[in-house]
Amino acid sequence: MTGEFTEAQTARFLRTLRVTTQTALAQYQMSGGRTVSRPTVAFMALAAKGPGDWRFPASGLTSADGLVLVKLDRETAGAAILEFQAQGVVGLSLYANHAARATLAGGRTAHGSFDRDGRMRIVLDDATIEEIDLASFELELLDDAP
Amino acid sequence: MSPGPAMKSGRDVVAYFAGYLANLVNGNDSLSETEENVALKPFSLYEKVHRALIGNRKYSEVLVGVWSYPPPNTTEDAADFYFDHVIDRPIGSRGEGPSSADNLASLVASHAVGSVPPRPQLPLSIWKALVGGPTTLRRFAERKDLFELSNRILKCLDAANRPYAEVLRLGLCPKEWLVGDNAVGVNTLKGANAFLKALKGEMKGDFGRRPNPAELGAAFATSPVPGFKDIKAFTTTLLGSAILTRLAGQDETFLSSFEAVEATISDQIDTETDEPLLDAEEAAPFLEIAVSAGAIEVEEKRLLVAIMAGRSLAEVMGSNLYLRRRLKLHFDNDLEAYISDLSTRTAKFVSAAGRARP
Repeated sequence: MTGEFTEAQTARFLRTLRVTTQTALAQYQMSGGRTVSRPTVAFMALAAKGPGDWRFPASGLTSADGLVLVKLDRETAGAAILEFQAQGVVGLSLYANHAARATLAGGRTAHGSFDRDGRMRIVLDDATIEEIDLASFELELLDDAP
Repeated sequence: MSPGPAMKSGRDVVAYFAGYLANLVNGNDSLSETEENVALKPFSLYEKVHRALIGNRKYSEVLVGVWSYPPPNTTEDAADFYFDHVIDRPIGSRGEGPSSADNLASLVASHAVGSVPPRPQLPLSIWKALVGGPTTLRRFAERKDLFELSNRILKCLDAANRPYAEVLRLGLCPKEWLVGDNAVGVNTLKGANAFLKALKGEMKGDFGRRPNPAELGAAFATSPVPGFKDIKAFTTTLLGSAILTRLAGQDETFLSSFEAVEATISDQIDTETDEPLLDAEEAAPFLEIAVSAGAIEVEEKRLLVAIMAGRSLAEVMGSNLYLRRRLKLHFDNDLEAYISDLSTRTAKFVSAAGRARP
């Protein structure tokens, strides 16, 4: 490539590459492309590691696409319960009445179903699960409604 | 917390956000392709942008920086501040010509349907350039027109986002250093970042502690901060002290997020140009050379040419078995990760080849 293109042409190419790919991606995802290709959304806490023990935030975690809020509830027996709530009209239309699978740290999975109000509770029976294990996990919509 | 997919895509998050705004303004989230006009409703648009800044982790972490220190009260607070001090930040012009926001406003006005109310003679922000003029637009139907809208928004964002990103790059909270009595100018922030980079080099990856005097002295000798005669003068300021305290913190989020923010800034250097975007035909020779050198595959070149020619990603991916297979096998069907990887590979090759020029 040496000598073939000027610095200005190279800068124009890099600019074009940057603008066109990202604009096309934004449009693709805006039109629901993500949902078609990969119905999975991630939940991730912002500061899972720190000097002290990490606690699941009382205000909950919002999914990366902003469409689901999840809170952690602890039963007296000690079982952890994840309470999901789809957010807004878009969240409801996507999640209500659909089955879903949460994939936690270490590949452990748990299943549940969103009700017609976009609410889902998943009881985690595994006593070894700690709050730090819930700092990052994925939720995948399964194809068929229950 | 380990850097996840959103962190890896930090390099292009500013361009992605510009593309997102362009698509929103064009009504691509709600209108069908056959609709010719779009009504600009500021409050509705604000709600969508605000929601995206809060809900999309890529924006909230890399653009807004909700991990910064001291942490904002809530993600909403941080998004409000980002909106006020980046998206609605007045952009001045360099010299006598129009500012990047004026150029954006001109493009928006050129698509006006009906009369355009006169604008006040004040420096415009991205927001005012987009919604302060015509209330109905002829849509940017041709893809090259949409790319140009995105390009002009990106030029504004590169300018308006810079001071904010420089504070984040220091690991600090923009709210503390962009407004009020402790506000610091962008040149000092850039100098401080260059110093911090040199200091990190001196500390050889051993963070979570205070640097020793030898490391401080060596870093300042490599990258002195303009306006300070020596390292002591700098570290006794509030800013210098805050940087060292942050560096001594144990918060791993800062270290991973720092790299993503730094990438958004360094990426601008190679791509700043006032020339118009290339069309697909003009870009093809660059891609052919990237194929010949093995940086990208032939089918990937076709994908990039198709994107630049205005074909939709869904259409291109749907009609190419090789790309779909590669997407599934290597990127777990995460199209964003694949396109970011492809774009990065191509940009790295072309940049390196450009630098190798005698």
